[in-house]
Amino acid sequence: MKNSFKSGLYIIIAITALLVSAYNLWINHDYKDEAFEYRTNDTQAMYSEDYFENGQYPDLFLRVLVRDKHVVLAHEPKSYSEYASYGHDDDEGNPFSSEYFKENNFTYWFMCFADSYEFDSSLLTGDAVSENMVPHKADFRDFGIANDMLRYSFPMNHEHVQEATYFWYSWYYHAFAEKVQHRKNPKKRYDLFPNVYIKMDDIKDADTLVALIATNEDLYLMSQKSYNEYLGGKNDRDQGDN
Amino acid sequence: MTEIREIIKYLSADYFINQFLTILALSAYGFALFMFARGKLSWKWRYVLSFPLGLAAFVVAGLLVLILGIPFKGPTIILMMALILQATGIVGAKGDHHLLDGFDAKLCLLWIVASVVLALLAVSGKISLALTNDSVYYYSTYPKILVYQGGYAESFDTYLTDVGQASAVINCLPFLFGFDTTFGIQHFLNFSFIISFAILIFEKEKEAGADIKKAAVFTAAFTLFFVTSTPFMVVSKWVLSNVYFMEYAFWLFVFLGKMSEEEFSLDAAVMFFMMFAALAMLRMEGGIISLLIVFAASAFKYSSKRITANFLLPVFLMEAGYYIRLFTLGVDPLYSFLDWKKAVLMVGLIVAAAIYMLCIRDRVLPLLTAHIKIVMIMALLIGNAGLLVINRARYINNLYAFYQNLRQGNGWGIFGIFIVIASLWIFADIIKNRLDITYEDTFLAAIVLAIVAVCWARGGMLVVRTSDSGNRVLLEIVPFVVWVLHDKIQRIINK
Repeated sequence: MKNSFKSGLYIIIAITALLVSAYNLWINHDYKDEAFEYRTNDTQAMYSEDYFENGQYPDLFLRVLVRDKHVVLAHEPKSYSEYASYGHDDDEGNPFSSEYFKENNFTYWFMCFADSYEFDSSLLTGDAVSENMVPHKADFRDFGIANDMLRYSFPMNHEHVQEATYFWYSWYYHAFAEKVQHRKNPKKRYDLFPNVYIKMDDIKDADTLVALIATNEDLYLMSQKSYNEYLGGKNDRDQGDN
Repeated sequence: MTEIREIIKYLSADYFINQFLTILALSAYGFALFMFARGKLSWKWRYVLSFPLGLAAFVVAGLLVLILGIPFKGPTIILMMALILQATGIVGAKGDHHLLDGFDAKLCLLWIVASVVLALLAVSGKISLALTNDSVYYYSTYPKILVYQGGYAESFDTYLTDVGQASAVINCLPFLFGFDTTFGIQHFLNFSFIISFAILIFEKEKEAGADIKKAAVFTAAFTLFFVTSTPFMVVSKWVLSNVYFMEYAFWLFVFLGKMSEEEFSLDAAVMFFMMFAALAMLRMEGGIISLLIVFAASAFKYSSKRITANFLLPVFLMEAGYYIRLFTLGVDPLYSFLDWKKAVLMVGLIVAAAIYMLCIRDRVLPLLTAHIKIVMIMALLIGNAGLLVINRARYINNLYAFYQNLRQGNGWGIFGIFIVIASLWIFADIIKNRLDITYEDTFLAAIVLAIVAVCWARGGMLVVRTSDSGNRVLLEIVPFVVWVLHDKIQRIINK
């Protein structure tokens, strides 16, 4: 091929490539679609502030928070044999004690992600958590719903019961919970989603945290000091709404 | 919100330095592997590929620890890495290559400075990424659980059958060495990839006789075209396994072609071994794509023993080892991509490939060996035709989903035009050259056909959206398409 023609072709192709690159830069500088959106994270954590705004991925914040902390939990994970539906899984209606997940999955999560943990049977559990914490809800920041966080705690559960654990959370806390929240009759609407509430005041420097799990699977996380104050101090706070 | 940000910054104070040092440590380890191997690879490539090799070797060490049931902890993985280095050194010491032949202190200094600067940039958080649910749970939460557990457990369930275990091991780095994300790791690997892509284009231009100025301009033009393309931007920034898969597959593909005429060099052999082992496990289709690369490369002069021991053996060891571990755990999830039938098929394919290499290639059926590239394509076409017959609805649906994703630019931008150009050009060249097809064209055609087949095999129907699994896998072909286009343009210009 003649040199002049070669040179000409080189130039044309190089210019074409550069023009296409410029066009790409223009269309891609802020590319987003249903799945893809740029984000920068200079805090070095996967969690970012817009997750907080949207109530997403509370576990990404929690895992940074508890990484170097000692967490007190009410009890170690209970075996499925302690629940009513044990031995009846094949019965008509496929009964299943959902408390098996609600009482244990946060515990599995903390055992994995906290630096260390202990079990204290004197900690509030179930309804007592709601009775004692809901009046102080204004002290807590709501980090959003914990569906996926709990859904993906199944690998820590070696009992391997209801191996479709993550489907439970997927169906119950996505499809069913959404339906319940938007029922036609407002009186029949309620919030099934497990929420994560964290009392932020002194949590940064606290060495020991207390994790309380309510009957509705809401999590209340606070420093040991705050917990002691709530139990020992006066409850002179506004009632918070759900 | 400021309060939350301040708390995160306070609690993650050490993460920056830990990730930064991890990147440099992996680079240093990869470089040490090259040096211990005492091969003939140029210093330039030892520097540029040090991090990719270091990361691949870390993955291999981690997977060996997991497969062998050794406690999966930082010290045991580091010990395994040390053993790999030692073994390389023992074999390398038998060679006659002098360690510091051709050493250039300025180049070394440039590499050190560039590594430090790029590692700082990679970890800075200033370069954006994209996260989805899978990024958080499959490629961050699961790795953390793996580190916590210290090994595999039956309860890991679909994490063991649907997640590329090498990708999971890479994402264990934060939890082993004290940080929270692999953003810096991913960015630094991208830097290594872009730099190596540019150098490869430049070297090709120089080999074709272009002067430095022309070579530099063309290199800049094609590298920019590649780096700014929507599919590369999407794959390289998305925190999933696709970016690692794309980059390691390309390195293997291009270096096997590049080094096909050169004498055996242990450092290159170590690199191929580690990268094949990693690639096989980065995604569930890793074994299939590895076999494609091996068969395409078998058209070159590599000896059958070399192909079997250096390219196929790592794939076999990783895949077979993992399957044995997996099925002895008793994992039997409700929904899974991988089941025992696919595992047996995969191992069978690798064994069949080894039998072909050792017993058939260059021994019997010389026509087969001489035309292995076109035979590969024909076999894949026939295979795809078979899948169409077995389940026509799924096959047609998937093809349609691919087409619509390309047409709508879901993660593709305008790059679909270049795929059409490359496809037509490949087809025209095959006809013009009477079925004689280049290595580059072979692999691109093969990987597309394989992706269509693998997506069919995973079950379910593909959908029209960027995040569809099949679409994300197809996005990985972008460097191969640009490479083929450059190759064809260069052939025309240099006629």
